[in-house]
Amino acid sequence: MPMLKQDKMTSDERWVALLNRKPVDRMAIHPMALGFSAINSGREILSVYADFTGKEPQEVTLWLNEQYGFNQLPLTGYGNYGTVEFGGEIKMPSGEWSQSVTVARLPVTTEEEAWSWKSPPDARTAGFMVPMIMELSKREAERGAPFIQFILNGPWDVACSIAGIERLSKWTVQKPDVAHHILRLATDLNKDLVQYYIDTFGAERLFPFSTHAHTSGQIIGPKTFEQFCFPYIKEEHEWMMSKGIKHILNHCCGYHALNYPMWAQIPMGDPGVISVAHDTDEDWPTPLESVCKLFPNDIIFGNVEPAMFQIGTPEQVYELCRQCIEIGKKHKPGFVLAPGCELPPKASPYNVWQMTKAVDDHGWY
Amino acid sequence: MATEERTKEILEQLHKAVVAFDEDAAVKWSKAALDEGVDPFTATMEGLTSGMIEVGDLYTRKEYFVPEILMCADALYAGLDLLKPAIEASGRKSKVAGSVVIGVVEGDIHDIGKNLVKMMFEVAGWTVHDLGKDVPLDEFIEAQVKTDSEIVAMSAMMTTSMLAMPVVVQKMRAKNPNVRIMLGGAPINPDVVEKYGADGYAKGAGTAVEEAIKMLEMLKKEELA
Repeated sequence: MPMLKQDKMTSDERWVALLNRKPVDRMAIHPMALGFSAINSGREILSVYADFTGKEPQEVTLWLNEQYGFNQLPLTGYGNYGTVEFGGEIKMPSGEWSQSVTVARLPVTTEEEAWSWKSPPDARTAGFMVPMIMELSKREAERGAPFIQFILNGPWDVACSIAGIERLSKWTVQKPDVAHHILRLATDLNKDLVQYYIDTFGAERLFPFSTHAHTSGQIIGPKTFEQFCFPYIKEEHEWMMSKGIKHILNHCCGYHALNYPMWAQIPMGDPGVISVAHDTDEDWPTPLESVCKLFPNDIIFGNVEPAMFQIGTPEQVYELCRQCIEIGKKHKPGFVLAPGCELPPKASPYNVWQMTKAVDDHGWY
Repeated sequence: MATEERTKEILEQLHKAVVAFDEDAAVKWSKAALDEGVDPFTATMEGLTSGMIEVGDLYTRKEYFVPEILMCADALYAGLDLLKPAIEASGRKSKVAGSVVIGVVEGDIHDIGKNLVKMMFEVAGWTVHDLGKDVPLDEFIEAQVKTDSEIVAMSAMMTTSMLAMPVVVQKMRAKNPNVRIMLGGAPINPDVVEKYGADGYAKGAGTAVEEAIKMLEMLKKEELA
């Protein structure tokens, strides 16, 4: 449903235009809102992570889009996919200070445990995340959504959910064969998940939302990324493209300055979508501009500092949005205004509104 | 008894062992230090700790990352396991720089940064009371009172859990206004520290100890005034 007075497109129509390299009326806005969507609708954060009918995450996202003029495709899932699937435990968000699902017990803590897995479990039935996201996706299909977006944590992130970031990262140096084994399990689990989606909806309509938080340069260096992340991400992406998936959104969380040149070698679709975080330093002063140059054929997505929606003033948030819009508007394949990572669930709604206001003021084509 | 030259060699090798994250070398040269009569405190501070300080610099310069730091820490602790009992047996009390309570606030389990900061405090000679992660808010207060630590250091990576920090700051001020409070974590910056009423900001493991020392000095000045 169009929201802003000048809107000539619905949210779905805007995504169809963007991903088909057609003109759009105005810049799309993706709030990366999961917990915020729930709270915005008067619900608990838990509701978007634990409704196994898929109804809650779909409903609260569509309401959010309607209210703010956003363009978020309904999505839910866990950043620690792989933990339960391989026999570990997770903890649902509860209490005043919890934001998301967390790992309670890792499934692999020794080499022996790693090697005991010869192949990954069946993605269709292992754990409970996939059945849940599949229900949401089926609702989206029934709604007539042009694209089915589903969470697909990157191989390194899945591997971290299996063995823990500290253990896995040490193994890359001390026991690289074990690290590679876990990454193989993670990649094959992901392929199995994608195949399930292909079998259910067909490849053409799929639009995976692939997250890469633990590949951040704040955790691992470019050599580790090159040897242990890049080959598996590339393999996975090439495989998805070969199966007929046309567009992949890669959410690169954190600091990726040293990795983006490698990311530029990974096929993401025609176009793909690459998300940019806000993390910056003296060596990487203008992440958004730099990524626009590195990805001249892909849609760029980002990169307002998420914490500012919670701690900043409306004027500060508006100005950050305006700066992103100014850079993104020049990017020919297209730009989606978004926070650099998940919108804080307890962000000030008026601050969140600044994204809409900034696009309304500056984001028309 | 090691000669001056040999002592220097042993200290250099201990330093290198930590920087090269070579646990076996750290053990080997710690044993050599003990066998050849090198003062274990000197071996610790001028060998192992000195190596860890260089590791901190390498991390700041983006040459080392979390995997390397974790392995360097393993080498450090492998050496410390041998040298610490010898220090204690000698009856020599190391000059403790200060005492800190550290933890990740309730609702948050991201503790890599906290663990790195904890390690830097330890190598700098601080007494560290690590509360772990997902720490109920009142535990920070209780731990400070129990240990009489000068500093309480809190970490949060998530924007929702960072909201717990000003609550702890308020409770801590009400209980003991002289405690200095340091905050760290991805969404934290100096403006947030000021807004939350805390005293110091740890941008990273490399600067946390320096910041804590500044806070201690301010505390001492206030006590003298």
